[in-house]
Amino acid sequence: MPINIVMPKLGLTMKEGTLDGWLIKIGDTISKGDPIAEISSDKITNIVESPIDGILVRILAAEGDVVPVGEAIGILIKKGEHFEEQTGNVEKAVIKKEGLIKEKRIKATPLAKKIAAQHNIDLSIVTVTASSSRIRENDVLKYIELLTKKREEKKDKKTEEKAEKNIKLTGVRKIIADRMSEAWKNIPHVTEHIKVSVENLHNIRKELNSHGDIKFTFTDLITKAVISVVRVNKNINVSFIGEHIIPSTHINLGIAVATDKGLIVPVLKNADNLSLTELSKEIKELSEKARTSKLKLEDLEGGTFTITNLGMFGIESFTPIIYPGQVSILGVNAINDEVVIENDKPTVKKTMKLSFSFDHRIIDGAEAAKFLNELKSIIENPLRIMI
Amino acid sequence: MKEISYSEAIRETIRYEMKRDDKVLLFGEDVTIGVFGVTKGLLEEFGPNRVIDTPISEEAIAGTAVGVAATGLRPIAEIMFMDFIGLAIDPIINQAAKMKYMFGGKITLPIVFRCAAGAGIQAAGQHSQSLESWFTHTPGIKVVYPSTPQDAIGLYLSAIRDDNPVLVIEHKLLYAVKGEVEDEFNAIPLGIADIKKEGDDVTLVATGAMVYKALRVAEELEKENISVEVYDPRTLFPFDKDRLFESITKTNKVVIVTEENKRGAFSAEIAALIAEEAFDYLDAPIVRLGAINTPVPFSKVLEEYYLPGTEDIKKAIKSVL
Repeated sequence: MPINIVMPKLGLTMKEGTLDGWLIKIGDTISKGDPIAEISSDKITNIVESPIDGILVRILAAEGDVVPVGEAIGILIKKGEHFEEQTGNVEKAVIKKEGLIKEKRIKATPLAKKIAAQHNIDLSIVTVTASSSRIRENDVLKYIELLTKKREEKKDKKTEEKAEKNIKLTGVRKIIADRMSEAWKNIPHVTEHIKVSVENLHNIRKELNSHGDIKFTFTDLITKAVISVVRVNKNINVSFIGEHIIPSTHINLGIAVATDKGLIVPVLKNADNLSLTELSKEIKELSEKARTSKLKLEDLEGGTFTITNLGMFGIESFTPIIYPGQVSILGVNAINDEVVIENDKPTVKKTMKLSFSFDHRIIDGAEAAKFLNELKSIIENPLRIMI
Repeated sequence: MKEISYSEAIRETIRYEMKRDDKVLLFGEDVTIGVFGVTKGLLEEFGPNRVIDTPISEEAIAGTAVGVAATGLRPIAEIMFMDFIGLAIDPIINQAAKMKYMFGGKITLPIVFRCAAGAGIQAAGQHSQSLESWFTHTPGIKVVYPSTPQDAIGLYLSAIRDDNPVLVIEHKLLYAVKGEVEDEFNAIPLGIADIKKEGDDVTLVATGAMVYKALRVAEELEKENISVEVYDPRTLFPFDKDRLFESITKTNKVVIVTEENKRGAFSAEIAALIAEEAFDYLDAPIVRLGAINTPVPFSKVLEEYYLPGTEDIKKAIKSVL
């Protein structure tokens, strides 16, 4: 029995998906769970896995095709099975029918036939003027005119399509583009930057990583610090949808992850309940899922606050764009050794800037500054993170 | 230019030629009177040696023509009604048309057979026929069918001066038709057609009296923005197919109307020529109109019904557009 590979339903509202690419070829032998194809909805990209051990015998959707949920994109058979084309008879019947039509004598005037021959036109596709029983000169000329027009249109379309291919957004890129545009158009962004000493954080990380098996990253520690500050700043941890501010009881933390397909923001649910160890583990898992396109829809939903880190690229400050629905986002930057004045003396310290973008409709500048200062304070005195 | 009738044109041309060449002579039944008035007055001018009434014997008339032509004279032999030409078939078909060929070109027979043809005057089945196809079918004889006074002059000049037998068909209804003619007598070479009216949409081939019906139709259809080209071959053999094909190349459609009953008519020969040689230019079937395949009726109503009418021509033209 051949088995259809269908377009999966990745979310409740998903009606159709785009086939982004095939990962196997016709004739490939695959095992159950092997990745078969990449697909995407308007929210997520995912990988279709093989439901059986088998062989791919038919590809029914090409790359870029939009396929309704539940519709077959390909056909698999089990090893040793013989695949018979079920539509074979239908196709044969159609061909036979077409053959019959062609055999039927076409009435056309000698002049029409001559012109048709000159232009290499099959008279069976020329429409006869209603008042006549045979194809005449004018009918052929009209057809030629139509054909020329169509060819030109096709040419134009092809050029257009080619042009479109160069710029047309699909999959994750399209989602990112839509979300970013939406946010940038609708949210009055303000970004505040604050310099933070991470000398202590650096030391505590060193300390932590010198014992146990778990290697904590700066992101882990900063995330933990952010959670503890957000927890006490209820106005920051809200959603703003339509005209309504919706307070959130938990902190669902979005972690921006750069993947080779683009930016993905998996959400760490109930992050405020997690210990540093749990947090670190979950962040690692989510990032890995994001990079291997294994995120589920629920992994992407429900964020209340987002952290985005460009520090590893040496970025010193930037203006992050707020994820629509949320009201703020924290940008984490590079850690640098800097000369600072401490006790009237120049000394070298590890510092970092935090870039905090907020929706000015909901959060005022002073409120944001207060939040940033609290965050600075906890990062500079990181033992409090552990509380 | 002057305006004269078709019969006057023929008479004046015969007179002109008899004056010019004393070898030309005219004979037939009552030619001294002229049943249709065509030859009236010629006896007085040229005398009984050149204008001769014959007994009522078409065979004798045609046979005499062959005989005198063989001696070097240029006879104009009148068969009063074309319907009676059957009586003269042997001298015309077997003698006049064959002799030059069978004597290896050592003899010429410069004969003009003239006859009145066609229906329209309630002359019934034996005085109304159009039998041109009998002669266009026969090699060795030329067939001329003038439709206007000017054509009558030019074609008669060529016919009389031609060294071969020429049958001139005159339509009875045309005798009274008047038309402008040149003051000079200029020959129209046999085998040159005339476009009686130029047009773009359809070529309408017409002979004899049908030329006038064709012109009327062309004029009426002009109001409906249908442009008809009226082609008059003037001589049925030799036939000017070049001019016809030229017209068809332009219009791509052709309607042929002759007064013959349709079966085996000369119009069929024209249609066949087009189908054989101008096939690729046709954008509609060739339509042929003729009288219905019965004897010509005496009744005026039936006679009209029998003949191709202007409405028939219009309908035929519209069927190919």
